[in-house]
Amino acid sequence: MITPMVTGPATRFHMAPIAAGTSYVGVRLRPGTARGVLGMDLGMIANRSLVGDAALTAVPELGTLCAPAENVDELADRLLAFVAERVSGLMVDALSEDLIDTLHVTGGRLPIADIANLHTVDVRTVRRRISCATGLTPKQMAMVVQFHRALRLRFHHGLDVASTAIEAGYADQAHMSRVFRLMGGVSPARLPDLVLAGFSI
Amino acid sequence: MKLGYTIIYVADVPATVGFYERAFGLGCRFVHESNLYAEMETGETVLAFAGEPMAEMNGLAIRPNRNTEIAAGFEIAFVTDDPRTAYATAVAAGAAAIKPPAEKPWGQVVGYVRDPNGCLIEICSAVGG
Repeated sequence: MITPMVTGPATRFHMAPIAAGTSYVGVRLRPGTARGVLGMDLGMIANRSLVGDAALTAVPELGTLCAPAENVDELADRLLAFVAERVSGLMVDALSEDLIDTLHVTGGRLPIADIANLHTVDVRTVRRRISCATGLTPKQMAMVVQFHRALRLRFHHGLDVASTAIEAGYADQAHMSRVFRLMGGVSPARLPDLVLAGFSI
Repeated sequence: MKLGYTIIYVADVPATVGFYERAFGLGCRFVHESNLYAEMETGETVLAFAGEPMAEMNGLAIRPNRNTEIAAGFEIAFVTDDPRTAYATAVAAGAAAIKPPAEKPWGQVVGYVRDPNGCLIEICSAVGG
């Protein structure tokens, strides 16, 4: 059985129970591209997952992609070809792309007013562009970027918890622990033995 | 240990290289084909420019340099026999004039401009020169 699933931009973690023998095929869409690839308002699916019929209603093309296949590779190839075709015709406006890039360059640490100043646009423009492109508010996007960077500092660079909190820009260790628990369902104290989307372990 | 590189993260590496060539007469040692990294001919201590996306690739987070912002708290200093002419050349090439060269009590002539990224550049004569 093949079940389609569309997961929106998220500030919280999803627990995905995996039955024995289940395989997953998926693509993670770069912030700013999902709106064009899925053809929907991403704000509608923020922190939500559309599963089965709900996913098919939102993105009818998933029906063809979920037709029976010989093996998992065939499914993956179909999905990649579909996304590549959608991405190739995609026009993300330059300002939205620059604003998203700046959130990454600054590790999500700058206030949104500073991001606006860097691009000499007003704060409302930043809100509108980022929300439209990603489905999250600029503040939420910044928090996700900051959390992902903290994960890398802690578990890839091997920094201790205190150093990670300082470099990632959290007020203190307690603040960072709270964010790790809310956004990732994990503790900064030890490497999680579960998979986090977009974070290879 | 020795000081090997000064690397400045900038929004546009090729544009910055072009500016430093015109404004300060520096040669370019090389520009990586990605346009995300370049080195100038500055002798043993290399002045290099890295594109801002390199910051995240290196696991860093930075506050971008912009000429619309307060300058970051550092400066690059170029030493020349003729700071006044060098200052005029830099400004003509698009540097923002901040403080025309003036003589310090110890005899050194010092002026300041900002490059198009907003970074502070000192143009000065050698101390005791």
